[in-house]
Amino acid sequence: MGMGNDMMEAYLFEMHSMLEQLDDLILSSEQAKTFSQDAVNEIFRIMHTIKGSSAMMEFNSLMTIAHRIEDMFFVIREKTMDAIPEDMRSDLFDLIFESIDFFRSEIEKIESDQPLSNDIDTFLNKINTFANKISGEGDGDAPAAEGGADEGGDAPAPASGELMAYASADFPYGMQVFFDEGAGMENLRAMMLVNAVKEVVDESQFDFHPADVQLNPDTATFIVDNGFILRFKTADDRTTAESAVRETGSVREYSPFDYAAGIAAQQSAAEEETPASAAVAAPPAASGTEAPPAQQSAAAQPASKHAAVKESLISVSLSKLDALMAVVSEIVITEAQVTASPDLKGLKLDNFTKAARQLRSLTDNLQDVAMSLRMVPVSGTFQKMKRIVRDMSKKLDRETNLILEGEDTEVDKTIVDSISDPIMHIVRNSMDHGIEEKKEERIAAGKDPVGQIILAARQTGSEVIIEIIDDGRGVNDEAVLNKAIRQGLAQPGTDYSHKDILNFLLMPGFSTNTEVTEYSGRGVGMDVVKSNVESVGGTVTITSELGKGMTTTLKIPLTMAIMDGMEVSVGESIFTVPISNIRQIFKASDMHIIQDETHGEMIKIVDNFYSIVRAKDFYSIQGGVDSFDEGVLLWVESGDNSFCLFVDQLIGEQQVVVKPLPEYVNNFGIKSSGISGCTILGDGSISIILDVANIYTAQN
Amino acid sequence: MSEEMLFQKDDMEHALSDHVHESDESKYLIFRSSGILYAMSTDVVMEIFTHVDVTRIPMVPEYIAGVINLRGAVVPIIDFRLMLGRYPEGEPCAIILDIEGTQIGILVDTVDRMVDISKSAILPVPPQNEHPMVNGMCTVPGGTSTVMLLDAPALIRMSE
Repeated sequence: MGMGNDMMEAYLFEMHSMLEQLDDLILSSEQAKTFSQDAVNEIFRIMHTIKGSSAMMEFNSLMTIAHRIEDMFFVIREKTMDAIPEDMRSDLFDLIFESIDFFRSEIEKIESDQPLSNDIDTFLNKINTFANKISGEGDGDAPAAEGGADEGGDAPAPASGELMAYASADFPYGMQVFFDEGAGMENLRAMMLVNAVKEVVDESQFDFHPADVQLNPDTATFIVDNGFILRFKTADDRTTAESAVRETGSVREYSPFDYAAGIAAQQSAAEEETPASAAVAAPPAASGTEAPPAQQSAAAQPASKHAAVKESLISVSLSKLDALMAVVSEIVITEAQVTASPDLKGLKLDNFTKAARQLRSLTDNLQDVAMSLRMVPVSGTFQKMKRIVRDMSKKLDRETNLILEGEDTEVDKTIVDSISDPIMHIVRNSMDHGIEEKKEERIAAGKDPVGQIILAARQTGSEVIIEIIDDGRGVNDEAVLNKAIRQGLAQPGTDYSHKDILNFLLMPGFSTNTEVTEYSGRGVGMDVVKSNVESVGGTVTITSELGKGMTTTLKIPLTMAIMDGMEVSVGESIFTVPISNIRQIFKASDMHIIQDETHGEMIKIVDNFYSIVRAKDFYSIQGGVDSFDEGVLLWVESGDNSFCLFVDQLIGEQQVVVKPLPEYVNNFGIKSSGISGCTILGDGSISIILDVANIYTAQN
Repeated sequence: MSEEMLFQKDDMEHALSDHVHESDESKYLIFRSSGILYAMSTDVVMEIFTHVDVTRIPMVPEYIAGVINLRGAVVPIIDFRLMLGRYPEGEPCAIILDIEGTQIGILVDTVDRMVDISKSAILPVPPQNEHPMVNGMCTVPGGTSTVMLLDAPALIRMSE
């Protein structure tokens, strides 16, 4: 069987999206404390698909587990959730979660090219035991329970298994195919066989029986007993198909048979019946007999909705998007080079100017579209947190609700990847250290006994703001300060503001819990969160009120590829300062400058003093102005850090394409001096982009 | 020529036998930097500019002249003369190299010419004259001058 890369990719993609869907489904069902019939159908459908495609890829562990769960949900579908006592339901949810985790870990193994689990018996037994409890038959042996409802269902073998019963006047040339004994999942094998025959014989030229092999797992038993029947219009087609049948895996034997005109009459009657009833029947399963088609239509609605969504999406490799982005960036630069060409100076070119303006707006458009391609909603990341909160609230026995807000906020794909871990860490922290251990504690504090964590995303003009708000204990300043002193981060006897103390939480080597727990505090702390977020140009701030909870805010620039910058000059050099960092630009006189005892300079803006960084001195640049009267001050801020940057003059505002500096120069650690990248200006010259946060850090 | 005097006292007995029986020739670009002739395999040479606008980068060693815009790509430029601890004189030439996929430019005094050098002509540098970026030397075919063969990948390793 061909297992090309495309097939593998499609399989993995399908598995990932189905598992996510499943996660979602179970989480919301768990909240409702039951499975709706729709949910049961959906789970049944998903398990069926997982089973089918895993079988096709020959991933047996996945196939087997999915098969058992499918069987179990078949029973649940029959008996409905009402038949399952309340006290068993939470075990059921756990079991499904466990199987999702199992699927995930197997998928991970596939992705990293490791062998799949061989030893799935323990888990299998667990499922079987549970399935037996549900079916309530006390069905002694576990493997038999697998067949569960099916076994009862296929009692009356159709028409004594006489081959002629399956012949048809329209398709007189039949072939009966038997699969290897114990091959399992005969219905799927039959479907694969049909597909193989389709390769060589036109679809209209043959049919098969049972006709519903694909949808009805019960047909497997029929196929075991009676074989799978292929019927062709011509004998030639049948001969052609033989080779396909021969080459299909697990075919034990096949034999041709022909339609005999004599029994045509009785048959046509039987013929009408068989597809509908032969494969199934028997009272207990009678409803089950009807079920598949009915279910199909019930499931059809959500399923078709998914299908519609899928069809309007294509997946494109990130590298192609990067290539597109690069070209678009070049166009933006070139456009500026053409329309602002010095050759045009002083010329009166009405038509050109008009066309140039049009071009400008089109390139802007193009840029927006190209950028939007890389944007993905944060919902994927947010959804994952549901599961974490669910697992942890169970494990720690702290009932907690996770509320998601603004899930559809979109950010650059690379940013989503880099904030996923920080968010997870903060949510875990909130569960571990924030939410109170005992309900009584919460009640005593006048809070809802159920804890609450809000995960909210919203977008301002230039950045995405993600807040993780818990209503737990909040930060105990005293405890944090003591810890900070113990860790040598704080000086005993010094006065620290509430804000200073919260900042200790973000420092390397700080962890408020002395014990390492399963979920957080594995030697890494909020400092990792901070450095991860800063690596994408974002900031982290914490606010907290004792007893009320804690809020962690991540601010991340919307996109890093293109930004609005202010071009400034210092001596011969040109720098770009991100507009989003600039609070105000103003002129000052030497008279307004305040000196400190170490020749540091400050200036008072409104009610606060801010230190001044002279770009010229900071970067040891030759030339440039020294007197404040001749230059200009940029009041900049990043996160909580605010200061003034002194430069020679403003050149102007410009949308710039951010390019990384070559690794060769980055290796000299210039990033920590606030040199974060560069951009190519309209005239082809290079401007260096300054990172305000790092200048502040380096200066202090 | 100072470089010739410098190496005239070289003891040619250091010539190793394994250099002798390989006779395949490869092309080298000869350039002059601070009075010394260097040769670099043309496999890594992309282009040569007689004039470049280099944007200085603060906070890097002095021998890094800065970066240039090479058709939209930002390429670092090293002042080869400063790198070897000599002072640049006059308007430099820039040689843009592609070393194992990394683009980098070097500033030199002048670009001389292209020559074929056979492997057997390449001799080792005497230990007391060794430099991490020079991996051999030879007499220019048909001439009397001597060139130092530059080890291109060593240029990149300098910053690591």
